[in-house]
Amino acid sequence: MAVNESQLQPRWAAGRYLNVGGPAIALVALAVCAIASMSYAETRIPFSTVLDSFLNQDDSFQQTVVRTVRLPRTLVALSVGAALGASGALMQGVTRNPLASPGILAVNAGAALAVILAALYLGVEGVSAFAWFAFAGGGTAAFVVYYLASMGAGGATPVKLALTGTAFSLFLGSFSAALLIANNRTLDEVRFWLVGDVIGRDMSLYLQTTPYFGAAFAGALLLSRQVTTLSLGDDVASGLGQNIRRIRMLAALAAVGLAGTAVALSGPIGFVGLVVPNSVRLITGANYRLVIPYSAGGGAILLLSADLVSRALVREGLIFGHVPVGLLTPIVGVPVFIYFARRMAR
Amino acid sequence: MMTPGAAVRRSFTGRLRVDARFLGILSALIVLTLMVGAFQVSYGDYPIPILEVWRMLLGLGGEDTTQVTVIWMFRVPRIALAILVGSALSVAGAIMQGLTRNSLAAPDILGVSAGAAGAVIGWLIIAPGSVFAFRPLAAFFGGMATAILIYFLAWRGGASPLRLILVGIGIGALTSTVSSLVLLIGEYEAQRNMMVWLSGRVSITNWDQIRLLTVWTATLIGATTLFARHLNTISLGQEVATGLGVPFQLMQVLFAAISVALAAGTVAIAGLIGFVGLMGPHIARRLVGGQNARVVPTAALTGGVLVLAADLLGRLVGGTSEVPAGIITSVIGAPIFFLLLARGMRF
Repeated sequence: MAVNESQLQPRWAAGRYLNVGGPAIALVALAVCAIASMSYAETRIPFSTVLDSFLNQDDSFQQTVVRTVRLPRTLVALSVGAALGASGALMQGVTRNPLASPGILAVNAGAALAVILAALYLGVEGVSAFAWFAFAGGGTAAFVVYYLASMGAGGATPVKLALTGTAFSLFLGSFSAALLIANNRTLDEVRFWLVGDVIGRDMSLYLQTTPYFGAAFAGALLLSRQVTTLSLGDDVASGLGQNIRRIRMLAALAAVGLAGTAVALSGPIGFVGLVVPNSVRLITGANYRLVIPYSAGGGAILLLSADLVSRALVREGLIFGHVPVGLLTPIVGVPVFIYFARRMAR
Repeated sequence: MMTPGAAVRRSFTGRLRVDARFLGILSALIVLTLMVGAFQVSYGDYPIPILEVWRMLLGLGGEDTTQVTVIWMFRVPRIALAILVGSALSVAGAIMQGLTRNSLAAPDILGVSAGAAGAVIGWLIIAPGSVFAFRPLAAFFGGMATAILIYFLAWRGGASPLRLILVGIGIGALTSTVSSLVLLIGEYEAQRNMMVWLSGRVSITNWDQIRLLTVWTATLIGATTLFARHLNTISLGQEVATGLGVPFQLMQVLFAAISVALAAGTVAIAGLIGFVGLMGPHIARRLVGGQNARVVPTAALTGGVLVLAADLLGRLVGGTSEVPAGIITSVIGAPIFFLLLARGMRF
């Protein structure tokens, strides 16, 4: 495969200024989303009070709410979104497949089944203990789907990957559903986790996951240069003296680490890893040193915004109770999926 | 050299043999349905000896009033619904596979079932106390709207079979998400009932529903069987069909509407029962070959047996809390979907 210079160049003129203005714009947008999500919740708490809860702490009720309830929710949405975005970017770079993403590779379905099995047969309790099983189950599912899809002629083409992933997700999902229904008096904790949401995760649980997020994200950033080369084709990468197998393994490990930790913390949330990196690549081109961090930022912004919408729906009385963000991401994600399905399938 | 007479005789005897085989397969499937059905009727917390079941179904028994009540009020409607739902889904799948020339097409995989379910949920929230008969209509309009949407989204100078499936998967995911969101608007009790309905059960039913679904399904399957040879023709493509004098587009729309209507009827009453529309026609084609005039009636029977057996299996493995038939069919059907996929893509 010939290297096409333009693939590495940003597609839009705006891309040229990314090195300077880009990070600043992204960070400001992220900060605005984060503060807004702590302010515009089910009940309004003014911006200034939110800022004061960190800068000028006192024991008022509103500040306590911000620090103990809203901050964890915002941090979870931010980290899960960032992890899913970066994970999708890695997967797409390594496989050269725009549909590769945690949801399509059945990470969510595998994690769910593993957690249900662990809770049922190993007596595992508590969301923090679920994390390991979610990680193992999600990782196994992703490898199985990719392996199955790459069998035969043509390798893991986008269409084969999407169909295999869907079939495998349905398969795992039906087992999960059967187990949940057959044990309908237990597993309440699992059910809570399975919804795919960012509420109800307290600070100590969040802090337990940060080392994994941190390590996997650092790995992703360290690999980003090699992933760029790999995304141009195996020939190019090996021509440049890369150990393709090793890079691919390490990148897969980082991608699964990010997605597995995310699903462990929030439960299954789909389509973030599909939508964000594909949108980011439109602006940055296929340079993964930009794609990976911007996808992380974009994922965080997307999930924080989805959570803002969920809170607005409740605040305006359109929905009584609570809307899990896992139900909102497909509304953005499916159109993107269909766009690629139209382009990829002959 | 073969004389014309010999050729005629040969094709005649050959055809006769195949026809006997075809009828034999149909009879075997009917016997299988009756056997599984009878076992399903006799099995339960209140066991009824299988001979008693047969006597009563044939109208010879009936001294024991408790048995009569249990059988006619609870167990027979259940197996009737299982058979109806299975037949309808399987024939719907056979039609969709013929129309799209893709062996992976089925109402649930193309997202039509999810669209129908979404419309029913919407309808139940707008008009909670309405007559039951409106449910299949809501399901039909929802399913039809989804089918049209998928067709247009998959259109790119022609609707390629693979694009239809992928777009269908996407739209299916979207409609089920929207359904869950709409469910959140409803009252808690309504939400619970709808969750139970959506999981694909044949256990909760009554004779009114059975009568409604019988008329709906029997009419549509009858029509499909009558027109089945046109389905063969249109699956050969527009030029061949027009050349043979078949109104291609009219037939396409007609068959699409019939298949959506069949699937919608089952969704309205039994919720989402996955992969039957995929497995039923495949088993049928294995048994009787590719001629749709034979596949359609055979698929109706294989689909019925599948759901009946899945329901029985769900009761056997689930213990006190039964596993819904729809979940059993998915556990069995998803690997088959994958195998068909692998074969179709020449993995």
